[in-house]
Amino acid sequence: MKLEKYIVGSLFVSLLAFCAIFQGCQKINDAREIEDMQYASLNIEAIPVIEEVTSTEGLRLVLQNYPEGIRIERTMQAGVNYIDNIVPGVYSITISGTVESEQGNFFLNGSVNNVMILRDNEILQIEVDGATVGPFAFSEIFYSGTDPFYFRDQFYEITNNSDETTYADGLYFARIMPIAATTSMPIWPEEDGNRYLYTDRVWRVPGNGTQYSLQPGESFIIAQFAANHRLPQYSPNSPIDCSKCEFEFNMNNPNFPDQPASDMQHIFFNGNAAMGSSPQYLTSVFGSALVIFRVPEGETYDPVGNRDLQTRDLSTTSPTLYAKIPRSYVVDAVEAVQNEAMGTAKRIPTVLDAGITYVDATYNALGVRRKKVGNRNDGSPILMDTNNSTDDFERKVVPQFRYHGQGIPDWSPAN
Amino acid sequence: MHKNISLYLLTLLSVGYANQLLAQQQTVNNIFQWEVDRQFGNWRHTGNAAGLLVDQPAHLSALQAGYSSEVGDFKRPQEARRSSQADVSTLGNIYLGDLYIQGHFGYARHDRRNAEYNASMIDPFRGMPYLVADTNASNWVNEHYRLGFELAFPVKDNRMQFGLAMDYRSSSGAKQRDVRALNRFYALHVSPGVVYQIAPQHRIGANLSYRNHKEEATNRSVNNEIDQGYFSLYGLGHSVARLGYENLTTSRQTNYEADRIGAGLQYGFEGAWSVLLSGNYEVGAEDVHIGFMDTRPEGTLLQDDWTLILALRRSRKHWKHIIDAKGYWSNAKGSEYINEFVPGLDSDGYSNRYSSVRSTYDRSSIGASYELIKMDGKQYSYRAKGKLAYGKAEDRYLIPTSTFAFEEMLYGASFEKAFSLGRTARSLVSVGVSMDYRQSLNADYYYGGSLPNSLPVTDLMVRETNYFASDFLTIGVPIVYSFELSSARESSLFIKTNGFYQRADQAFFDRRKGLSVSLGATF
Repeated sequence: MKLEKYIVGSLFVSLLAFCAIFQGCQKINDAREIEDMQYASLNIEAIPVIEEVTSTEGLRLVLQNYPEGIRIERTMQAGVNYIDNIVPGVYSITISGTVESEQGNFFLNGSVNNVMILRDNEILQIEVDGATVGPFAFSEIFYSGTDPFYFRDQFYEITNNSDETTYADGLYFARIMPIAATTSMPIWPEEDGNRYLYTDRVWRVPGNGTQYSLQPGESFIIAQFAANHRLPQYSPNSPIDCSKCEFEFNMNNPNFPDQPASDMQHIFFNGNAAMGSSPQYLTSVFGSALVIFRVPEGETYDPVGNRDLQTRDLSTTSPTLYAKIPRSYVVDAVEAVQNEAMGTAKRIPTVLDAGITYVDATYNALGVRRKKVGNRNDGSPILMDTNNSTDDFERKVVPQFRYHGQGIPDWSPAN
Repeated sequence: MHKNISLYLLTLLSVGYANQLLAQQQTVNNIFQWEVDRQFGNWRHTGNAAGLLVDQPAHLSALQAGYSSEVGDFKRPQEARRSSQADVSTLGNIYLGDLYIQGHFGYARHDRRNAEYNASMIDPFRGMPYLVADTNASNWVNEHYRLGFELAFPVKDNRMQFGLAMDYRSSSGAKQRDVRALNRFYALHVSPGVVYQIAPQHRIGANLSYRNHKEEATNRSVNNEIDQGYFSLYGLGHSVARLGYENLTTSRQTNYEADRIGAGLQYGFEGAWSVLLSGNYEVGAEDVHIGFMDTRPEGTLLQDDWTLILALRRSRKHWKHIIDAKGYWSNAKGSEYINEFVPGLDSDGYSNRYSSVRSTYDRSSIGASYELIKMDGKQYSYRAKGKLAYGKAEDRYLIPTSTFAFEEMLYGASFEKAFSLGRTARSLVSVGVSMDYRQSLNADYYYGGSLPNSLPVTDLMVRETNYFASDFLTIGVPIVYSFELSSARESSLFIKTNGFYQRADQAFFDRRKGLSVSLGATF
């Protein structure tokens, strides 16, 4: 009788165990069904948008798998191009280069981001269009801050990279949401299609339209806080003195008061023109996606008054309002992220910036700088601008204003 | 009766006390007898609790507390340069009528200093390739609890016997430097078994086993102003460098969940020689997920293990012979996932778009040992042991191709001599020496990925390879002292020490040494 009791008890324990075993078997079976990884392949075709271009032969094709550091480069043939031996993964794909036609030479650019190439004979078509370049370009960005924990020395240098005299007056500045790169992206209204970028705050360079002129190769700097950051009360380790910067994002913080630099005009925050209570305009020390844009002549841009230019993030219940920026307005865009692995979390459409840049850490007093490709006859620098930050920017550089010898505008306090 | 069992079991597990209700079996008087006794059970090493009584276990209760410490540069990168452990453990057995129970409980606090390339696992060597690794040499404080019991039910029809073994382990760990880690681990093991006597000297046995374990690792930084870089490791140096935590939160969770099932078959013969042939197969899958919210599958490790054991024992009044042979084969497949994040209030978060086996890990070993024991009454007078083993590992990252492989030979010999410190043999001391030599036959690492300059390749894997390429000699000196407290109560105290010194024949490393001391009692 005793034995039966023991066995009944034992069977009960065993029954519980076997219930768990059943669950465990499911996990094991699921794992058993997974097959070995095989190389993927891609059939890719570039579709020219410009009517005059009939062939895309000779364009450069670049596939980048940022997390794994994989880069595949090919010169495109006419028609469909077959690429094999691709490690399955998430890729950013860029097609760019110059093609010749009877109507002249065209610099074409087209790209897609976060494309999953997973199996054999994947098919992809990418439209290539005439690339929008300049006239202004971010030439140096310092966003990571300085050890220990000092972030007020952020600055953004913008260079006139065109061959014409250009005015900074009315040039808008914004960071694109989300503030730092993340794979949890917001959801924007479906009806917007691909027409807009979205920002939490919009700034504008002041001026009457002809007040802040820049000759070819001249640059100006917008500082978060235009002070000498090396002073003891700020951060002696800072690599930069911003006291001669042309503009600053003054947020009326009495602890970091208004400096001699001209204030950027505040345009939009959460549906209003008022700045709100934030003590500073801080772009992420991880790296933000930044744009400068200009409203074409004949159009108006009023994200406060025009509710059609406002939206919520539909992935949350938060009532915070964001401003829409028409993509066609964008003059230059730079995507800065934490490190190379975050290339899969791009916020800026690849047609504006097909790449990423990064400094691999926070508070390391290092920035990113656009490369120089040549000089004009007067010696002013010509900067690389292929709408691909990966290629266009040097990473982890010690910040320095006008590193490539950019000129100082005659109206600048730096004179 | 059930109440009584629970009561006795709890008592047994908590203090290691086994009362004298029934003493139909022999009793272990001191640690010297204990060490011989635990070597002589064949069935107790099979995992089939139903066979415990075949071993005719002697009555034993033991309680011990110990401290151990080791230090040295000869180590794998994820191993602590210096570590110390304080522990207390107890075990005992009892016959309750025809029911046999043995149980154990242990607690250990393990301090590890200057361990590298691990920020998500209490034990980075448990074969899981998917982990978080930073480059800051860090201290870990780990605590381990373990308790379990084995039951052998009364013999049915003089032929059949059932048994049940359960084991529970719980651990916590905390990494003491950014990137910080706070880990919690538990493991449960249940194994019912049966033994059937097919003839007076012949028995066959079978057991099933189920294991489940879970480890949660939460990473965060105390200094949240400076974000430490870290890596997600995927095996053989393949990694993704990261900065900041998932989705801009202030922490990152890595969850490991595993289920393993297995079965064992045994054949035992009891004659002049006691023979046991045992085969075990176990298969398990361990899933790795990132995060509690918007859970992202990171990887799965599927592992098959085969073990074959042949144990031979011969026991005479003055001489005992122990021959053991063991073969072990393991094949593991690491699967990785490609996921897509689907935003939105109604979204489940990450959606798996592609999964594939991307790495494989093969291990095999075969070895044998022979031990000769000269008995002096119930305890040994001296014992000598020799052993030989061959081990092999072949790891492969499929695409892009990377490989890691090593082969090794292990040679070992030990000798221990017991002395009586007095005519009555109330005090005994044993002094011994052991020498183990590892010969590396081959160790090679090739990385074919796109990040050959990343630290997991140039530092972690290179040092790991150097470790396995090193021949090394380990010399140990065990000393045991036992003092009889009461012959009537068959109880004695013991002090056990073991020092070792390890020297590698390679320029990459220096040496390693350690000492352990434990104080305990058998009663």
